[in-house]
Amino acid sequence: MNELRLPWLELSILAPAAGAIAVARCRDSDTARQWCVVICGIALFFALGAWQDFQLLQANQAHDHWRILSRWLGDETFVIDQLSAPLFPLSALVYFLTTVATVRTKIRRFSFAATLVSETILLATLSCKDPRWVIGLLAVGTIPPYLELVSRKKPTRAYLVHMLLFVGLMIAGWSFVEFEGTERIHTLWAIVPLFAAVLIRAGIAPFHCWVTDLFEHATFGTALLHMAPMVGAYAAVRLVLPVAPDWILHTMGAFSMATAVYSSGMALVERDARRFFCYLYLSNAGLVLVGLELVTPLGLTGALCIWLSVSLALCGFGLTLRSLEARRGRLSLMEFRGLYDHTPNLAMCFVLTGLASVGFPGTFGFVGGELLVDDAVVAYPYVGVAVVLATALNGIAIVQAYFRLFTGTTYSSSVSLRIRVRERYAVLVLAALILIGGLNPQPLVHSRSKAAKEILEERESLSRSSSVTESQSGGR
Amino acid sequence: MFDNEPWMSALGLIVVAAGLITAVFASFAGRVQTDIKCALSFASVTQVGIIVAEIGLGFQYIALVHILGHGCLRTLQFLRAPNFLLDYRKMENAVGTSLPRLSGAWDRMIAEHSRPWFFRLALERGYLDACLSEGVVYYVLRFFRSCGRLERRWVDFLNGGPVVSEADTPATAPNPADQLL
Repeated sequence: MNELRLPWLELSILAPAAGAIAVARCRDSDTARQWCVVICGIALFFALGAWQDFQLLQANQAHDHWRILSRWLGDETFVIDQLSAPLFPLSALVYFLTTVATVRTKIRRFSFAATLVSETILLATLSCKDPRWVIGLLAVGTIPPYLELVSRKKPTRAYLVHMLLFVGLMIAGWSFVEFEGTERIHTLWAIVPLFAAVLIRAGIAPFHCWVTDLFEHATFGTALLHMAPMVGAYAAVRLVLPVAPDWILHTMGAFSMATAVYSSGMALVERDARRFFCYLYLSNAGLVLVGLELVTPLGLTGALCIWLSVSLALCGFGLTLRSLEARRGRLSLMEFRGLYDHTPNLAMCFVLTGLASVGFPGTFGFVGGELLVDDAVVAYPYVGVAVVLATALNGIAIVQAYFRLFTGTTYSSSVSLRIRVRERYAVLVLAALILIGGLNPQPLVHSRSKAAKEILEERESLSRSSSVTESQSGGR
Repeated sequence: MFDNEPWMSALGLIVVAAGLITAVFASFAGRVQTDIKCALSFASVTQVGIIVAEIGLGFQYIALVHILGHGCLRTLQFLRAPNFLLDYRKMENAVGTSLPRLSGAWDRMIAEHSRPWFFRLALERGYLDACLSEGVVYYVLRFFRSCGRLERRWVDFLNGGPVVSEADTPATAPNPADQLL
C-alpha cells in the first residue's frame, strides 16, 4: 500500500482529541470558542494536507507515514482512499465553519469540547475501512448528541431507541457476515440487519423520526454536525454495498426514493424552520442513497458528487438558519419576517446554498444532479421521475421559506442585526466553494468517477469469489 | 430514453402533445398580460412548449439550437424591457396619444361578441391555477399535514408523552403552504 509523506490522518484525528481535553478545562465560553476555532483550523489544515498528498500520490489507497496510532490499534487502521479523500477535508471544513459562525448568543448552549470529541470520532470513522472499526466508531459517534440532550433536560427516548436499534443491528449483521465468512453469498440474517441499520442512521422513512426529534431538541449546531457529513451514506458504502445482492440495494433504493419525495412534501408544509431544514436534509440524503443503490458507474458518480455538494450546500443553509436564529430566536415559517434589510448577506447565502442543494445550474450540485437523473431515467424511468419531483418540491419549499424569512414588512429592531465578521467569513467561503465547484466541476467529477469505479470493482471481485465458491461446492 | 425503450414512441406523442398544449396556452394567456415581465415570462413558456414538442418529435439538435437562440434573445428582451417602456412612454408623450395597437391573428379568429369572454379566460390564465389549487395542491398538502400529525404522535409516544418545545405553534395558526392555494 502507498504511504503518505506525513501522518496527516492521525494528526488530524489527534488534534481535535487533544484540543477537546484542553477546551473542556476552559471556564470561559468565549475562550473555549476561540480555542475550538484554532483547533478545528489545525484539523482542517491536516485534513487538507491528507487530501492533497493523496492526490499527488495518484494511488487508490494510502496509509499514514510512521503509523503512530496504527501500531497500537492494528495495521492499516487509518487509510485514505478515493471515496474518503474529499470527505475527510469536507467534514473538517464543516466543523471549522460551524465553530467560526457560532455567535455570542449561542456559545453558552453549544458545547465546544463535545464538538471536538465528535469531530475526532467523525474523522476517525471516515479514515477507517475495516468494517469492525467503522461499526465501533459509528456506535461511539451516537453518544455526544445523547449527552447533550441529557444535559439540556430534553426527551431522549426517541433518539435512544433508534440509536440502540442502529448499533444493535449493525453488530448483529456484521457478526453474521463474519460468521458466514467473506467467500460466499451472505444470508438474509447478515444482510437485513445491516440494511435496516443503514436506513436508521441515514434517516430513511419510516425510521426518520429521530432526526426531526434531534433537530427539535438538540442545539442546531450539534444536530447539523451529526447529520451534515451524511454518515449514513458512508455506512451504506462501507458496510452494505460490498456484501449486499442487487435486489437488497434496489429495495433500499425504493425506500430512499420514497423518503426523498415524502420529505420534500413535508418540507413544503412544515411550520418550524428547524424541522423544515431537517426534512430538506432527509430528502437530499434520500437522493444520495438512490444514486448509490443504482450500482452503475454513472449513477454512483452522480450520487457521490451530490453527496459532496449537498453536504456543503446544506451546511451553508443550516448555518444561515442558525445565524438567523441567533438574532430572532426559534424561527417560525408562519409569518413574513422581513429580515432582508437587516441581513442581505445572509439572504443571499440562503438563496445560493438553497439553490445549490437542489442542483441549480452554475452551482456545485448541478453536475451531480444531472448525472443522477440521466442514469436513473435510463435504468428505471420511474426513479428518474421521482428524483425530479423531489428536487422540484425542495426548490418550491426553499423559495417559500426565503419569502417567509426575508420578505414582508421590515422588522424594526433596537439593536443591529447585521452579519458579523466571523459569519461573513464562513458565508463567503461557502459561497465561493459552491460557485467555484459549479463553474469548474471537472476535477470533482473525475475524482468521484474513480471512487465509483473502485466501489464497483470491490463488488465485482466479491461476486467473482462468490461464484467460484459456489461452483467449487457444486463440483463436490 | 426515446431510443432505448420500445414503448417510448407513445411517450413521445404525449411529450409532443404536452409541449404544444403548453405553447398554445402560454401564447393565449400572454396576450392579455399588462406587466412586461409577465408578458415575457409567458412568451418564454410558449417557446419552452415548442422546444419540448421538438424533443418529443426527436429533433434534439433543433431543440438545442432553439434553446440557445431563445436564451440569448429573451435575456436581451429582459434587459431591454425597462428602457423599452421608457422609450414607449416618451413616444406616446411626443405623439400626445396612445400608440395604435395592431390587430393580431387572435383578433381575426375570435368573433367580436366572444372577445370579452376569451379576455376573461386569458386573464384568469384559463382558470388553471384555481383548478390545480383545488384539485391537486389541496389534497397533497392535506396528505402531508396528516402525515406530520401522525409523526408527531409517534415521536410523542416514543418520548413517553407530548413534549412542548420552543417550536410548538397553535394549531389554528395559518400554514405557510396555504399560500399555494
